[in-house]
Amino acid sequence: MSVRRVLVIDDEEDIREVARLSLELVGQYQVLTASSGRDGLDSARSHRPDAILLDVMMPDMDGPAALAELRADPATHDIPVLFLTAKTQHAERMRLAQLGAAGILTKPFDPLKLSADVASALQW
Amino acid sequence: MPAHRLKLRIQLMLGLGMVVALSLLVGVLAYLNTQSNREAMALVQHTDEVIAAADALHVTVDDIDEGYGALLLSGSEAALAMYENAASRYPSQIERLIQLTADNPPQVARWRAIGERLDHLRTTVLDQGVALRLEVNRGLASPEDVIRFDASGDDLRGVAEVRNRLDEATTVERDLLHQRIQAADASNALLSNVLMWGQLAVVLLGMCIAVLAANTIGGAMTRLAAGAQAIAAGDLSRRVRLQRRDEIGRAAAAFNRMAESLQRQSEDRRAVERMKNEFVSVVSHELRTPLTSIRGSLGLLQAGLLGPMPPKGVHMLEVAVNNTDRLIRLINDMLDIERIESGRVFLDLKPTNSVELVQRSVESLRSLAEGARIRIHDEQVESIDLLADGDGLVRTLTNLIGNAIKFSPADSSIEVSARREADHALFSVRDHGRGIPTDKLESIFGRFEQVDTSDARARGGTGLGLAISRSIVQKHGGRIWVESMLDEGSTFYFTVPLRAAPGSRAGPPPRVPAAEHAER
Repeated sequence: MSVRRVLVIDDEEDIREVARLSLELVGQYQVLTASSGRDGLDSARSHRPDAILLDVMMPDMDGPAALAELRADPATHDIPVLFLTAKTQHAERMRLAQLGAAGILTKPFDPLKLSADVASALQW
Repeated sequence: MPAHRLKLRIQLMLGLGMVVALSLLVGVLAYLNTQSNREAMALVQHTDEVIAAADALHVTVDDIDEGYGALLLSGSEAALAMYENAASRYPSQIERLIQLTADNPPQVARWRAIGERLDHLRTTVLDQGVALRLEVNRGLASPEDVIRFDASGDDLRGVAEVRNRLDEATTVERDLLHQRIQAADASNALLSNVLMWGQLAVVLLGMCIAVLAANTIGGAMTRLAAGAQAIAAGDLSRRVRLQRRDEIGRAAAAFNRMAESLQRQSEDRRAVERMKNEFVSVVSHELRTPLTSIRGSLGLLQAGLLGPMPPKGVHMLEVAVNNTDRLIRLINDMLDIERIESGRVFLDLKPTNSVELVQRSVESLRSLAEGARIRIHDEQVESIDLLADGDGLVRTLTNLIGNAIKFSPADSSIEVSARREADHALFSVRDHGRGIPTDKLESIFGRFEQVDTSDARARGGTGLGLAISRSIVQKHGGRIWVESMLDEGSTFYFTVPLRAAPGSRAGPPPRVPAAEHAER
């Protein structure tokens, strides 16, 4: 089986870096990163990753907007998306859950468990 | 609705006054009418008397005529007596008629003229005829003298004239009587009308005023009550529109001011609530974002994934990771307790079971317990079906059992139990630790309240676990408390009503007195 590719979309460079290292070193995934919703959409279209970790709160295009575009594009509509959010309010999580993401991961995350969480959410 | 400037009290008094005034007016009119009626009747009676007197005079004149005629023919004593009797009667009768009709000068003149004519008739004709006839009786004159004297016809003409004048005067009186009877009848009819219509008007006016007053007061009360009910039901924008300047208007204005003040307060509260929510949300995001990078970097370093690390470095990283985790827990707990206590978190009530709740809690603490060499006994947990927020109760149990582990000496045990009581399930967590001083038994459930201020640092707690547990239990309508003996251990108890409060998901947080969930 080929190495799985995960695209991390987050406007925080530090978090992108931690997530990338965690997913590469612990999960042995191939990791792509994007710093905005717009870049993330381009990257998703050109690289067709196996999963996308999508930050919710980003300037310009936020997570839900990016998810809507991914879903609307035939090239990306079947790529599973996991939201990555710092918000833990029940109402907020309920709202995100209804947008059609495959799961919701909470920040801060334990870098040793992140890959396992992704894998269990996507049943890899 | 027009502006009513007058006070309601004065309006009502005015209405009542109108009824009383109308009633008085009707009474006065009726009284006046009765008086004039009585006068009319007296007049009728008086006229009757006059007519009777006139009729008597008529009889007298007839007697004079008859007595005189008989005397001239027969010269009898009886005829003379009749004539003289009648002739002596009429002056007093005339006098009486003049007295009776003293208020009517034309009649007085008529009676006087009749008297004068009779006097004149007597002196010029009748008395001479009588004297002549008496002379015949004594033989001083002949019957032919009498016949000759009588042949002039003066007596007949005189009596006829008197009769005519008498009839004329009587007719005047009869006409008067007729008029007066009509007047009396009219007066009677007027009295009836005044009484009937007057009373009708009083009754109608009274009814109108009663209906108006009832509508005004009753209507206003109904609208005020409806407004109060709407506000009680939460519609704070409700106002009562009563454009009046009386007491009702003032009550409505006061009501509306109260509603405005309530609405303003409610809006202020909502604004504060919104700001708080926003603040919580921002803090949540802004604190977690850098913590994510820190915790992630430390975790990767500590795991040696980025290269080998000297032992002291590993230890320092462990300190850093532990404290970062504590900071994250602290933020989570603070946000949680703020959310629970602000009432924005509603219980997610679902059927669950006490055994399952305890197992989930114990499972999540297994490694902590093993690390501290503590045995957890949960054989005393009865199986109790509950309608409750399972995650919340697991969190409560986890907090209590976690605390028990932290404060138990190594190689000791913790007993967890659950049993059904009258209307609730009673959970308990017993440890054999150092116990809690009496003066802290209550305060440990407050925020950041710990038996020893060094506990937070030494045991890695946030100081919010019991406060969160208490909030969750209270949201269920239950109670949480602790019993403890120093150096022997503590037992934490909490209750969960067997039938939790209805509508906890969408409605307000349950305020469930014991009686309300007693049935099962």
